[in-house]
Amino acid sequence: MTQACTLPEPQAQAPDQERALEAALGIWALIEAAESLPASTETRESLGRARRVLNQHLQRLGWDEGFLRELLAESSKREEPPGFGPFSGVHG
Amino acid sequence: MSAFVQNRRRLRGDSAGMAELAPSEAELAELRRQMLAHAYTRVPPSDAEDTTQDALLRLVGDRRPTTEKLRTRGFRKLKDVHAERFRRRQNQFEADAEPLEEVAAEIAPQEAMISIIALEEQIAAEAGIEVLQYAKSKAAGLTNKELAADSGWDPNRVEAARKQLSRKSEAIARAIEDSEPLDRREA
Repeated sequence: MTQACTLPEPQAQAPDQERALEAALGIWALIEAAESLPASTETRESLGRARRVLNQHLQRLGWDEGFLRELLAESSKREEPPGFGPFSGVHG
Repeated sequence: MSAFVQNRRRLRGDSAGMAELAPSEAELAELRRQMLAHAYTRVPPSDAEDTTQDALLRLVGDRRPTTEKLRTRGFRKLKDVHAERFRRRQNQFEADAEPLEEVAAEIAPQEAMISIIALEEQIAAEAGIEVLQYAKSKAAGLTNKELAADSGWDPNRVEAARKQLSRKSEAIARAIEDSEPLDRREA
C-alpha cells in the first residue's frame, strides 16, 4: 500500500523581495523629488552623495535606477502590482 | 621466563617485559569487546568496528617495550585513531567548505534587502510616510492636481507633504549617506 507523500509548502520568499523593492523605490523617489525642489548647494551635494550610496545598495540587490524608474512609471498607469503604487501604503 | 611467570604477569596485566609477549587470543577478544563498546559511545556506529579494528592492529603491531597494561595501551590506541579520524574529517570539511567570498555573495541579497528596508523605515520615521508617498507620485511624474485626485488628499495636504520633503531633504540625504554598505566603505 502506498502512502501519499505530502510535500511541505514552499517558503514564500517573494514578500521580502517585494518589500525591499518597495523600500528602494521609495528612497529613490525621495531623492528624485527632493532634487526637483529648490535647495541649497549643500543639500544638493548631500543628495548627490545619497544617490551614489543608494546606487551601491541597488547594486548589491541586483537592481538599478533604470529598473526603479520603469517600475514607478508602470505603477503610475494604475496597472501596478499590489504594494507598488504611490498610495498603496508604504508599510502595508 | 617460565610459562607460569608469564601467565601470572599476563593475568595481572602489568610488569616489565610483558610487551615482549604477544597477547593471547582470549585477551585480545576481551579487549576488543571493551574497546568496541567504548567506540560506540565515541563515534558513529558505522565507524565503531573500523576504529576498534584499526586500534587493535596498531596495538598488536607495536613492539616497543612498555610497562603499561594491555588495556591501557589498547584504549590509548583507540583514542589516537578517533583523534586522527576527527582531524581528517575536520580537514575534509574545511577543504569542502565554500570560500568565504562565495558565501558572502550568496547571503548578500538577503542582507541588502534588510538594509534597504531598515533605511526606508528610518526615513519614514524621520520625515513621515506621507513624504514617501508624495515623493513616489512626484517621481512618477504626477502633478500636484493629479496627485490630489489619485490620493484623495486635499491640496493643503499635498502642499504640506511638499514642504515637509523640502525641510527634511538634508536629513534624508544624510540618513542615506550614513547607510553606506560596509563592504563599500572598506573598498
